[in-house]
Amino acid sequence: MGHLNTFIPFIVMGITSMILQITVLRLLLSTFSGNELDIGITLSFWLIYVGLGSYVGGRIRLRHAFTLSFIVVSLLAQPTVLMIKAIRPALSLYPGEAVSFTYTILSTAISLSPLCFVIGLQFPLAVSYAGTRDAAGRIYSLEALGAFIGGVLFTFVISGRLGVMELCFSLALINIFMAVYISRKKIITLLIIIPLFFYISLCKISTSLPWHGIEPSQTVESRYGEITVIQVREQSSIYVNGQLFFTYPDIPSEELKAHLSMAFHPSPSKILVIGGSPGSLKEFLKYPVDGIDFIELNLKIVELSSRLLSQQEDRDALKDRKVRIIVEDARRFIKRLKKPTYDLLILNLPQPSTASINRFYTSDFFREARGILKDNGILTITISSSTGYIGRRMQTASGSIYNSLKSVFKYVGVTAQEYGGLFASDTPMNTDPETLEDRFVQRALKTRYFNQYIFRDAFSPLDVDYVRKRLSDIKIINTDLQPSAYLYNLMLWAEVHGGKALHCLLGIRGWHIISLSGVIIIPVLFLTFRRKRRVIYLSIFTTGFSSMAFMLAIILAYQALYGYVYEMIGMLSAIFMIGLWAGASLCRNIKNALRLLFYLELMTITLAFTSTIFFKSEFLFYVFNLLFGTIAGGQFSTANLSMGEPEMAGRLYGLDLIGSFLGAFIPSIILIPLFGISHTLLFIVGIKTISAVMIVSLRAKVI
Amino acid sequence: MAKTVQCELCPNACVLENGQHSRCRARMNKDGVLYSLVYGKPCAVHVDPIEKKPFFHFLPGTTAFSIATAGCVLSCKFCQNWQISQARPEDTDNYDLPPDNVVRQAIFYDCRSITYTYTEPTVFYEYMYDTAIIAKKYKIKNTMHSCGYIKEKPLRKLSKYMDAADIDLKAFTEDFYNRICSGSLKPVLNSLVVLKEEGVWLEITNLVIPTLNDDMKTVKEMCKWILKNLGPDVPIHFSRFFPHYKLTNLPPTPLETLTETRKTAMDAGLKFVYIGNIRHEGENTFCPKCKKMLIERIGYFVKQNNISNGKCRFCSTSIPGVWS
Amino acid sequence: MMTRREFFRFFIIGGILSLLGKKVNAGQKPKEAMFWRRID
Repeated sequence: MGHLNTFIPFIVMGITSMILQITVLRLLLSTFSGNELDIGITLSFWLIYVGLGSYVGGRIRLRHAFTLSFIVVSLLAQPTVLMIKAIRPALSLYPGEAVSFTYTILSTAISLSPLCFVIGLQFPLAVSYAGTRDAAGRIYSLEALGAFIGGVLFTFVISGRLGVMELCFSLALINIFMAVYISRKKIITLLIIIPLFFYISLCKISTSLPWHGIEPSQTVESRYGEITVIQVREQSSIYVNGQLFFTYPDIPSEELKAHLSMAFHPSPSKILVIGGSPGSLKEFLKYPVDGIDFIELNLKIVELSSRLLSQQEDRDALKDRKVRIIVEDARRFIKRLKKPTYDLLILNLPQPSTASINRFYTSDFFREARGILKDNGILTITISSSTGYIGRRMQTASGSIYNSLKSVFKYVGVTAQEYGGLFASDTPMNTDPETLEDRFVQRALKTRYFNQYIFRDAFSPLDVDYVRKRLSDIKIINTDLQPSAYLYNLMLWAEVHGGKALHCLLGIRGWHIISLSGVIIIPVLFLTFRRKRRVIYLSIFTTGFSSMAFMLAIILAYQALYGYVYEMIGMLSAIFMIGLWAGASLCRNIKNALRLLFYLELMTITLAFTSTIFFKSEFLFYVFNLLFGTIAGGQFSTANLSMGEPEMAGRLYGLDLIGSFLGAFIPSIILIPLFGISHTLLFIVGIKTISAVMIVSLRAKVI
Repeated sequence: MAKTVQCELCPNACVLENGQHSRCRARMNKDGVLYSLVYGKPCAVHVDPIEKKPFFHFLPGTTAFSIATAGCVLSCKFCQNWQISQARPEDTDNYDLPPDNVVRQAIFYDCRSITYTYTEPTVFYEYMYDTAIIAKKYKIKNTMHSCGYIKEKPLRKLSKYMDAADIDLKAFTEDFYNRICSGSLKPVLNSLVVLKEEGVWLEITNLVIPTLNDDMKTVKEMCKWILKNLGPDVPIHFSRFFPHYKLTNLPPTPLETLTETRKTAMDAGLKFVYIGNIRHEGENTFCPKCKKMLIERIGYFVKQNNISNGKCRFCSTSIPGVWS
Repeated sequence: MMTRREFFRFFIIGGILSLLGKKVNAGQKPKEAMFWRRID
């Protein structure tokens, strides 16, 4: 029993904090309409509060403080969730209205503070609870192990199965039992009433709360985000992470999408539709086609939408033998396919306002798509529509997509701005309204809302000309690792949702960063040159900074390439944690610590340089993450050793934390969105080179 | 010397210190004189079917030369033209098109009318007013699509040259105007009455937004007000909301809501009730007497027109509107 | 053939004219608004 006592609470600590971190991250992600940059903002505040907590925790001399901390964590979990869900109504936002940038930061900062602070308190309390002097290292490892278990549990067991309220309730129970276990006071069990009360009374409110006045008819957790169905009369709208994906039934839109695209091709027989409403399938079946492949990566959406199909024709379409429903990531599917298969590829996704959607608007994707189109195959995509005028930001956002298409396909066409259509092919397409109209009439299709006159409006030469001219002005190309369309959609978002702060940030240019870094670095060089203690401070600071920046770059690159961070964030964090732990334990008994520190710096630089190799496959991503965690853990441990004064550990921890906070905050709001992932990695290389050079300066003196 | 001025064009009645811009962003106080920043500088210039404005009882089947400058007196969260309406004139890419050139271009493109539209034409009042005078000389009609958020005096002055107006009656509660548009309803209702009095051909557009203004009780109240104050002949267009601007994630209006609003309006006694943007019998004009189809429209295109000399071809009932 | 002197003359006159033209354009007075009053 006594033996168990020495490790179970610490592992539970790790599990709880990791699962809560992921839960909170995902909740915030859906509150802010799926914008991945919030991952960085959340992580940075998480770090700073945990750091503050552990600083304060070191000064608490209460007898049952450790027991108490478990109780407080258990009591705070549900209210925190509720607080996050209340962000939208508190800002009196309408469903579908996005949170402005300033409020994104502010509400993240406020909603995380109590819970994270207490989680931070736990570590030093655990150390003093354990009583022995060398306990810190052991507890650190046990907590990391717990975090790893938590991440794995979340990814493979909890994700998609357990709702947020159930999960928090279970965590609250576990933590209360932990408190009972430590203190051996059975009376604490009575506290279960509180989480139970929360669970019963708040479960209902918490689902409708973010929707402010509209009652969601269904909420489902999926691997790729929280799916919500909003019902208005007979019409259902499907949201993923608060972002509207499609509405069903919406026959006018379904018809428009299908018939406008189909008119470009003289004889479309094999069609691939990526995402969107299954309601458009019946429209394609009106043509003499050989096969329609409908691909959607989220199984839950497929299940949900097929259950929602209220129209008989849609249910029939789904059963038609020409229709094949594929549940897979469309990019992976296309990459594997390789050979020309389709006459028409219809991209039916929302605008690339998140990194996970942007991966379908990059030149890399267009190139892959081109490979599966037959000789006169056509790709059609939708961009933001407008009336009267295309503003500069929308021009840039849509223009970068247009230009990326042009960089891959020989011919790219546009529709009038109200229709927001782009279509691309390697053979010339006829977009003369009369030809399209004739083609449509000859096919003698029965439609309810779509009609031949739409072509006159959508391809009116004056309007088409206007759009083409406006989009052609833009020369930017959107790629996987330099996701500019995503960035410009973010700017568009900033224009819509205001926020002066974001406007200022978006005005930052490369030379601002370089000159500002110069101004900061020069005095730092002077202050640290050949001074051992300061060099180690610098090294630990840059370690904190670069490890968080790296983590974010990995998360976003992962999202840009594979698109399901929402599911795998737990795994990514878990592996990083286990790496940290491994690194810290490997470097515990080292003779020449300073030399190792230098080598570790070099390893970081090499890793940052070679990172693109690791981005090639999903498995390598995890390897990369593990390697990087190990190096970061090693650096922390080695820096401690080379300092040679154990009482300095607290200060080093503080510096590490400040570095981590800045490393999460700056890259997530400036470096990654404005300059892309590759440049962020270069920035890390720069910072690490400086601390490596400083160590060399030291070695020249010391050795 | 004080250099503060107050704009008296719209109900916002901005009080501006020297150097300040108006709320609509299109006017500025420079040394105690208020200037229009958008005169002759439209950012949107298009040739559209008049049905797109929408005008259904005004020269059907013709095209309208449509212009707009940056700026708007309101800030509606659902604005589909927010890129013009919420922009400052210096942030948009503008054409250089003085009034006489507008008229010249309208003639060149064979347009029967000029429409001041897309954003709120009140913000480019001077430009619109001068253009309208020249257009009238050349027998080109003037029409505007406006939110009606303008003071009575300027509106009456403008009415002398304005042949038709389509007014957005966005909802029928002060609360909606307040919260969603940062404006108020009363001046809009007043503008409707003024336009009617001045003999400007009037049509009304109501954008039906799910959960925000789709309550049938209020729709009924609105239609009764129209009937009482403007008469049963005013055409009203119910149009479908699509996610735009700040409300990009609100679902589009269900079709049943639109058909129900149409029915409510017709039951209230309005004679010409249309559903915009949707292929539906609600986009055709029917004779209020013999119930036969007068104008068949598909989208923005007129397929057949059975009105001759302003009268129903079948039963000779005169149909309100401007037909030639 | 145009001499170098002639060329320069054209060049300079053209330059001045185009500058003047720009100036005239830029100096276009903003339109005074209708419907406003001074508050003292």
